[in-house]
Amino acid sequence: MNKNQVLILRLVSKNGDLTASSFLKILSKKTGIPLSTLKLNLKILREAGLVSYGKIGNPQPVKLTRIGEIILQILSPEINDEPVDCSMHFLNESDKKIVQNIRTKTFLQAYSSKTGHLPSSLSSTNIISAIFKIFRPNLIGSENSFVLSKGHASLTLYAVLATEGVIGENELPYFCELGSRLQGHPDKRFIQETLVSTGSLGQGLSIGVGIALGKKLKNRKGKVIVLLGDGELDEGQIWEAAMSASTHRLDNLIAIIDRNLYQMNGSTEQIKCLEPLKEKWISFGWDVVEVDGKKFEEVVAVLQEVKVYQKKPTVIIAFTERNGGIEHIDKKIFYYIPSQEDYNKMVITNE
Amino acid sequence: MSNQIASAREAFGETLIEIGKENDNVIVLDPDVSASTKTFIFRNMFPNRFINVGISEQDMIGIAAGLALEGFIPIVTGFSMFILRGWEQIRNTIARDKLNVKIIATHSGLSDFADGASHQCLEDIALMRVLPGMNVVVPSDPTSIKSLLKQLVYINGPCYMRIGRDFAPKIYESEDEIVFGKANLLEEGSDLTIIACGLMVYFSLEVREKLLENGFNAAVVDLHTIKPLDRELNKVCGNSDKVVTIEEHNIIGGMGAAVCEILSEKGFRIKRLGVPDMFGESSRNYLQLLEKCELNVKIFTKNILNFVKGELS
Repeated sequence: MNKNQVLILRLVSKNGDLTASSFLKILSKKTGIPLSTLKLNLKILREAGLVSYGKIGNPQPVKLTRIGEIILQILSPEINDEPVDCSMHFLNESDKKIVQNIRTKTFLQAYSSKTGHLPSSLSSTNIISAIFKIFRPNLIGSENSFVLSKGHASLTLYAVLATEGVIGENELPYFCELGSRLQGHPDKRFIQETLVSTGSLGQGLSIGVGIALGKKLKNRKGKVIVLLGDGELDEGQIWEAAMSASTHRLDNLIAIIDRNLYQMNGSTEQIKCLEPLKEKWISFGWDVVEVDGKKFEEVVAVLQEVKVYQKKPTVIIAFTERNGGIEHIDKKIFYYIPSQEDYNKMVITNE
Repeated sequence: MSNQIASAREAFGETLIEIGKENDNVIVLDPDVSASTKTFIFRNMFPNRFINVGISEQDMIGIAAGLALEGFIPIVTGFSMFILRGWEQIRNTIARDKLNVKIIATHSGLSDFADGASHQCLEDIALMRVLPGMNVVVPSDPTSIKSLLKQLVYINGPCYMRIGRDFAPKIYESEDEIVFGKANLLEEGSDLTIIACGLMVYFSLEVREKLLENGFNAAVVDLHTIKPLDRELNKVCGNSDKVVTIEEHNIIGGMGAAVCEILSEKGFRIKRLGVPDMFGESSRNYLQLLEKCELNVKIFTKNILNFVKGELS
């Protein structure tokens, strides 16, 4: 067995839900080993019956087989001498629970208030949760900043802030009620940890550019993360900001696009065509990473990569769905008020 | 009163240097008009604290917000008309979050005479003073530009300063004569009070001379701070209950309207003078354009005489 195969075997044993392609992509970036080399070796390992990862069209998480586990144990002494950095983050069970919990809290607010933008919030659940997991932005002691440019995903932001203890869980049922701090769109006058008030689309990236520039001028560390909706890319100001970011070489600025393919009245491609989106950002001088935003652990992995290896302003295009994976909610609608039944189901799944 | 003519934007450019030397947190943002706004003087002296954001005013306002969040005091510059392109950004971020951003708008009113209506701005006082928490100042001469700009840097919160392009006759001798938030009584008078801002203060002092020739003694007040409006304004007006306001702004919603909001509740009779509800046009001469837009000493005098004599105008 060669060195690469041992490395793959060892990391597969720590894998959570990553599919073969995401797993190898991250590993290749992290180690510098060409993707094709890794692919070949993983294939050899599967043919030898040591790992499994489903098929094309039906990918499954990469896992060790029982034989794989035994081989790994036999190889253990050899592995200890392996110098490659193996500190990759993989999802553990408790993370899954946290995200599920955040989704329930999002539901609770929408269900209690009979208002809010639930689909857009569900679409961003993995992304916002991952941002807070990796960067802990806007919180006391953190040097990282987060701007929720798509302010209508406030339900998720509040759910995360409740999980972080910034707002009380008992506040969640009062979303949008007169006198509540939980405004329809994030409002700094009520909650400092929103960092900046948003709600008017297309403005968050410029603010992020200003913060990132300010950090650089003051020699401060820390990243600036801006979450954009794909619909708000219609606004010209986004592209003004995109040019500013590359002009000033802001390698501390990360934009994430919640690419759920829909805006209020239909498909982004029919209303104001965004594609080829990746190429647009590349041509604006950004590094572009694409990720499956439906998988929390993949978003986490990408953010960890960017946190360490960023060279330019970087945009992560996260492919998501407006229903956040809840099948009975239509992916195409922008407005959905959960029923009692919806909410109960949510709570039961969570428990 | 002296007739020395100085340039508003040059006074601005020079004052920026003073402020930049005093305070390391001052950073100037420019939408690529530094040659026109004279902020290039600052750029040459403090290249690391000057950002040409390109011709993108909305982006500029957002970047200023971000810099303010990191502890800078951003001075946002540009033509007043085009800064209004970022009005919604100013409203939704700068004003709502009370960010410490200073917006210095040059070429206001009709002062960009040759460029025509696209560049002339007669709406900004109305649009800025309606924003909760926004401080709005309109200096009347180069000395007051210097004085107020320095004062604004030490006020924590959003500010909008409106200055003209060049033509700015001297009114004040010392910067100490101008205090942010306080209406300035320049001349006393018992028959009526003229309240003006910007260049129209100088015009009002000339109007006062004409009125004296007609037997009326007018007080002249420089209302450089339009928001927050001096709560003691009625006391500055002296004994007469007649007030005339003069401004280089649309007659709707500007300084005159602000004065009415306060003084009409205190029993004053008020006549507003300014640009009728209209757009400007090109002219090779600033004073000729002002006259066409009804901003002229002769026109003011005639209107005021009608007003004080109780006739309808």
